[in-house]
Parts: sequence; C-alpha cells; structure tokens
Amino acid sequence: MSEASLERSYRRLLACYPPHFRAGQGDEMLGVLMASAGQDQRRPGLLDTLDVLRSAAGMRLRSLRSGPENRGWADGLAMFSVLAPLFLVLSSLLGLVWPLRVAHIVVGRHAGTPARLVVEQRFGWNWHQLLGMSGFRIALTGQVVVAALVLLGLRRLALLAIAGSVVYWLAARYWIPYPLQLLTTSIYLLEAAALTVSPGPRHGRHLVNWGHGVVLLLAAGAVQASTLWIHRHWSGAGQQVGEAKPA
Amino acid sequence: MQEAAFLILTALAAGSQHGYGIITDVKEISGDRVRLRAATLYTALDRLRADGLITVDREEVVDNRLRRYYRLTPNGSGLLAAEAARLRANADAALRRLNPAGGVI
Repeated sequence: MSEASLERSYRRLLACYPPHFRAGQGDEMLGVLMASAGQDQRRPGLLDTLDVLRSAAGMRLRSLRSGPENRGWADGLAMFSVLAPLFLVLSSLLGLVWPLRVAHIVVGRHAGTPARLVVEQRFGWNWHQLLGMSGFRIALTGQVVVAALVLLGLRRLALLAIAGSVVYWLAARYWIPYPLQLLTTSIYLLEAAALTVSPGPRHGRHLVNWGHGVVLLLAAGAVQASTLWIHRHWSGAGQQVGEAKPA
Repeated sequence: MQEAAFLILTALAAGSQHGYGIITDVKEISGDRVRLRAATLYTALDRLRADGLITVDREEVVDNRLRRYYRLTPNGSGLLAAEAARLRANADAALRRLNPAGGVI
C-alpha cells in the first residue's frame, strides 16, 4: 500500500518534466526513484523532491530553447530579444528629436525620498548628474548599451546591463511619463525573460530583416505620439516636464 | 567536465550499467562522498547522450519496471581518458610542489 502511494507521488512529481522526456525516460526514472527509496518510505523525501523540481525546470528551459515542438516560440523569443532593446533606443531617440520632448524626467513627489537622501549624504552622489550626464541621458546610454550587447550576441552581459539599468532607475528615482515608464519596465522584464529562455540573440539576429526595422520605427513613433497625447490630456498637477535639476 | 559527469562516465568505463547501478557505482568510486540522486543522474545522462558520449546498450523489464542499460561510446571513452589524464597531470603538479624533494607525501 505504501509502495503504491509512493509511486503515485513520484508519478505526480515526474509530471513536471517535459512530455518528450516523460515518454522516453519517465518509467525508467520512476524505477530508479523507487529503488532508491527507503523500505517504509511513503512519500518522496524533500531533497529528492527538490532535485526533481530543479531537474525538470532545467529540462523545460532547455526544451523551450531547442526542443523541436517549441521552435516557433523559441524563434519568436529570440527575435524579441533582439528587437525589444532596439525599439527602446529608437523610442528614446525619437523622444530627443520630438518637438515637445516628452520623454524627459518628471520631477515630482518622488524626489528627495529617504533612500535617495541617505545615498547622497553618505556618498555625495547626485544620481541625476552621474558622470556629468542627466538622468535621461544615463537611461538612454543604458538602453544603447543593452541594445549593443544584444546585437553582439552577448546574452549574459546584456542581462547584467538590464539589471544595472533597473538598479539605477530605482536608486535615482528616475521617473518618466507614465505610459513610457510602464512600457519600458514591461519591455525590460520581457527582455530579461526572452534572453533567459530563448536560444539567444545570436539566433534572433539571423531571423531579423529590414522589414522588422520599419515596423519598429513606426511603433516607436506611435508610442511617442501617444505619450505626447496622453501627457497633454491627462498629466496631473504637480508634475513638470523638463530636465531634472540637482536636489 | 563536472564531477558528476566524470564519475558517471567512469562508472560506465568497466561495462554497461542501468540507472540504479550507476548510482551505487558512483557512490563506491567516490568513496561514499558523492551520492547521485535520480533526477541529477537522469539530467546528466540526458546531456551525455545528447553529446554522444554514452548510448543505450539494451533494455529489459525487471519486476514490471523498465531497466535501460547505458554504455560509453568511443567518443565518451576518448573524452574520459583525456579528462583523467588532465586530472592526473594537475594532481602530479600539485604533489610535486607540495614535496619539492620528490619524495612521496
């Protein structure tokens, strides 16, 4: 009886593996799990459970990257990992040349929060004027660095650059108009996920063509136009548009 | 090469083995220091098979359970030999530096 319930528990655990692995090696692995179990064991041990979950997650990740059944998703994510950073750079560059330049930092109620004050007092840093550059230019530089690393196919360095940009945004309390803030945050999250699970930007680079570039440019223009429109019609009181001044 | 992969290939160097046999053999080879868990073993086997270092030798059913035997491929034997030589060279270098007079430690 206990053997049957143990087997059921192991079968439930094995369901975490991708179908192709279960079909090929599920029964065989179940036999090894049962043989490794203690005589009166009724349920999987904690370490065995964690081992199976870790292994299954790794196999699903590898399957997503290279499994034939996921080729469409894998190609799509690889292309996204290349196009998304380019989209952000294009969007920011359009913000630079747009007549009313809405993509500037918004100085509002978030400036001067305790965390920021501690950093400034202790290290004497003004995050908005780091290296003599304004917050917008630092953010733009971060986007350019991420895009360049992705184009070079350097997946891990690109992930590090994204993490660095996020840390800067949080530390500097760098805010941009709401639609762009939401869009940029979402794209960075999706980009990090795509870089992690896709076959990588080198693969994506081979799938991208000039047609995608035209679509990117149009999309970036649409985002800037909609941001300008939303900012004009819906921006609340107490927000100012323009370069940040040192606190 | 990771230690688990090295020990699995070593376990298969003497002949084909099934999963549980590899686990017990690795435990013995490592002097009870490395205890492979089933999922770790099958993750490693999956990679070693994909890399062409091992292959399925035969299958049998024992007590209504599938038992699959694995063996080294020529590539696997070659890689294991090269890795063993590399580890031996490193160990020899370390021992020579620990005992410059050339005696046995």
